[in-house]
Amino acid sequence: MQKLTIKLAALLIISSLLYACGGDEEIITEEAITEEVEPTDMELLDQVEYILPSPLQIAELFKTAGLTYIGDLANKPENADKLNSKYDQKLNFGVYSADMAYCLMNDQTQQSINYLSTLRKLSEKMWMTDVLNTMGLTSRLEDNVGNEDSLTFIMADLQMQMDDYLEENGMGSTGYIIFAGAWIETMYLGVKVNENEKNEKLISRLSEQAVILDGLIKSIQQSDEDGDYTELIADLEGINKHFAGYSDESEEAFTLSDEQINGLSLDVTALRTKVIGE
Amino acid sequence: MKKILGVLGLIALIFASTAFQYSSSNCDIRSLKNELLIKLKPEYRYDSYKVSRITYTGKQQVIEIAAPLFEGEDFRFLFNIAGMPNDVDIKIYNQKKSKKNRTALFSLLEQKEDGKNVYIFDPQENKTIYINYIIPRTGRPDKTGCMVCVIGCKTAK
Repeated sequence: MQKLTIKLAALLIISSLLYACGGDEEIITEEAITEEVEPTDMELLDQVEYILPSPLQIAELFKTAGLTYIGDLANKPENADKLNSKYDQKLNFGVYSADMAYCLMNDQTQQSINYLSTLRKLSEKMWMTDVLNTMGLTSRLEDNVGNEDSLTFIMADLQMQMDDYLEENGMGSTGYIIFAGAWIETMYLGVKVNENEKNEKLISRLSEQAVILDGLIKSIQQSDEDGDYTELIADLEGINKHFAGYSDESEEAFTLSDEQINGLSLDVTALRTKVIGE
Repeated sequence: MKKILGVLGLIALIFASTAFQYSSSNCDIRSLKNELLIKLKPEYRYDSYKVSRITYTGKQQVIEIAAPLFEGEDFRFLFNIAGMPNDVDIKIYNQKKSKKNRTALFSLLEQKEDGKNVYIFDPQENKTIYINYIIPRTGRPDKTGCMVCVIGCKTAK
């Protein structure tokens, strides 16, 4: 019995050694295979993935183009109390993030802190309590009043914490919905400021958003396994029609005409009203 | 006798564990990302990041990722290849893969150095660029890996 046990143990060790050492041989074989690959053996995955910029980046683009501050444009914090479904909460988390960035970039620090409080309430409703509570954001914002560079870095930190949370919890699709809310709100702020006073640079930046919208729609489509976002996709596709003249192969910058920008303003405003539930 | 068996068992366990580690990938996303963040400072600030989880197959795979850029803005793309157990190539183009006349703007293989796992690309373009991860085929199709890409934008104009 003892001899049999020793034989079995020895067999186990030899097997382990062979498996462990076999790794080197495997790599050599794999390198050889890689070199021999013919184009026909390539698996070109049809699905293109997308990297979306942070909402902060878009807000910053608009700000440098002349997105001035108009007091009553951003969404009212109290509207957050009316949001009951997880879908509405996610979308409006994006809306309030964009409003917070808008206020921060225009030295409206107290208003930004109010939006931070709204975001905290919403994140609790969405079971994302850890995201905003651990960063000491309020005191960091208060300590940096008037220092736009530092405030931008604080927003970038907030964005990274959010990205980490969503990535580590497998919530990629939630990230796309939050981004959609932020994008709709930033576009709304952009078209409204332009309506108030026509601004060619801002129109140029609004036109440039054609690049983002296409990627956003496809990202939501790819993550929408249960068909939960069909209506949002249709709404965004409605906005995308205004960018029909855009081509990423063209060397010339794409700029919306006055008529097109008016149409875009109307549709963005209607979609934003729907999203915030007014 | 029990002692001998115990020692033999321990040795077997160590080897089996080594073998397992060898065939798995190092996908500690936060560590891989943090290694990239260091390379952003001080000129660039964090904007976003993208994790691509890859399962090797018996065929070479090409994963394409579209990344939008904006007029007059400076971006930095950082890649950490430490999570890929087999050699992967990164090529970046000015057009999508369906376009025949696209130009390569970056190729990892041209820059690759032994022991280096972080690579930087500072694009000069102001439109969408197309990142291609070219994953070699393997004889062990259960292998997995991950690629982390961090994007930063320039802070001061």
